[in-house]
Amino acid sequence: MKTVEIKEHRLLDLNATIDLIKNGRTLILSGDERVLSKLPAGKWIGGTIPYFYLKEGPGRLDKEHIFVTDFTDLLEDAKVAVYDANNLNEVCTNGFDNGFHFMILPALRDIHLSFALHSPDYPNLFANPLLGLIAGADLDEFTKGVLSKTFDGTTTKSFTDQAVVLHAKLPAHQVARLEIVNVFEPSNEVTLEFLQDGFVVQDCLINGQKGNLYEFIKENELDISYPLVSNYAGASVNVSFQRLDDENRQVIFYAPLFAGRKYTTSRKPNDYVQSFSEKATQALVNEQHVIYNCNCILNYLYGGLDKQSIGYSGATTFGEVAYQLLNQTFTYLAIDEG
Amino acid sequence: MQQTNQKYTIPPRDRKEWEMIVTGQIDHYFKNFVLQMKSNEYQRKIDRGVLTVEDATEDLYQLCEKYAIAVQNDFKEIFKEW
Repeated sequence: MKTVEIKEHRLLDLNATIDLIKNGRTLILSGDERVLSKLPAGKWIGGTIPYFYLKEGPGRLDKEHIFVTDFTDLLEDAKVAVYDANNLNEVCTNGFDNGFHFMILPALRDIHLSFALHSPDYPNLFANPLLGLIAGADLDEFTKGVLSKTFDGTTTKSFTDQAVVLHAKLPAHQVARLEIVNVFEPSNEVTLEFLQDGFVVQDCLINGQKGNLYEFIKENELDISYPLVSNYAGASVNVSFQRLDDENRQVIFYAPLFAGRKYTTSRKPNDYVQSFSEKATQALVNEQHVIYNCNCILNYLYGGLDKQSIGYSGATTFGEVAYQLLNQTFTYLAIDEG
Repeated sequence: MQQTNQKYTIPPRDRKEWEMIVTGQIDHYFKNFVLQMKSNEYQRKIDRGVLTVEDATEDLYQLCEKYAIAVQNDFKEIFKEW
């Protein structure tokens, strides 16, 4: 597989990360909460997640290391800001004339729902790329109620309900460009419509008839490792299943479903890694300078990225930010130069 | 031919295809993620009367000037040559 070299984007141990922070580097960090909590103050933002995919071999669940992206040498300036659900819509009006906004949101909280619902209408949304990730946790802990956290490295404060953002400024001769690789395509075999916005679904319209989604999935043996797909603001966007709640006969998702939109199941790729490889190669063949990438935890799990490599290294996410909320999508940021 | 800040160019502002994109008169599925969203946004806002075709066309043109490299594949299909 042809891959693009991404510099300063690697898994490091605690001491190496501390050294970078102490040297004043501008960093994006992903790691387990316990290791992120040991970091000193500096110019960094972070989000909890302990799953990583690796270029050099199989990925892994790792609570000791930190995935570090060092933007320092690219940037003319950068500033860190913290947003709550009330002012998150200002995220693209802050920052710099030319650059990008890197945002980390906590998973399955009100601010996550707010972003998913309202981001297409944010002022100045497309002036510079808005990218980032939804923080997560060890899945065993997350399903028992452990919350994901975001970190403002300038204060070392962590949050369960606030977003942290690195507003980055690029030199005038460079421009940042956000792209995605989505392996999944709509099947159009079934149409689903939801009665209200939210992450949790019981009843919905299934091919126009009211029914319980949990029971429909069970009866039809739908494979929930593949996302639902919908057209959001012109783009084909995945919404991934988190789990079936047997006790309450409901379905829980990683992103909200919205009333008034139509969803369908996705066509199954025969092999995720092969499908990803083909699509990524097609997308990245002309790229010269990719500076960041992330991939969904579900692509890690269902694509077997703990057993094989997709040719890139990165931290997994509980959702991707690419102007709007995405699921099960490989997202990357490229720099073009004049 | 419009020269951008990169090695790539975009079609002249007076090509009729710009207006056809923002009004949805071109049957084209955009490969570029931002163009997917922006073309949809223009159509919705023009239909609702909150954006004029002229303003939408100008906004799209300025966006594409900045991201010229990203729109090349789509524009080669829509504009063919420029």
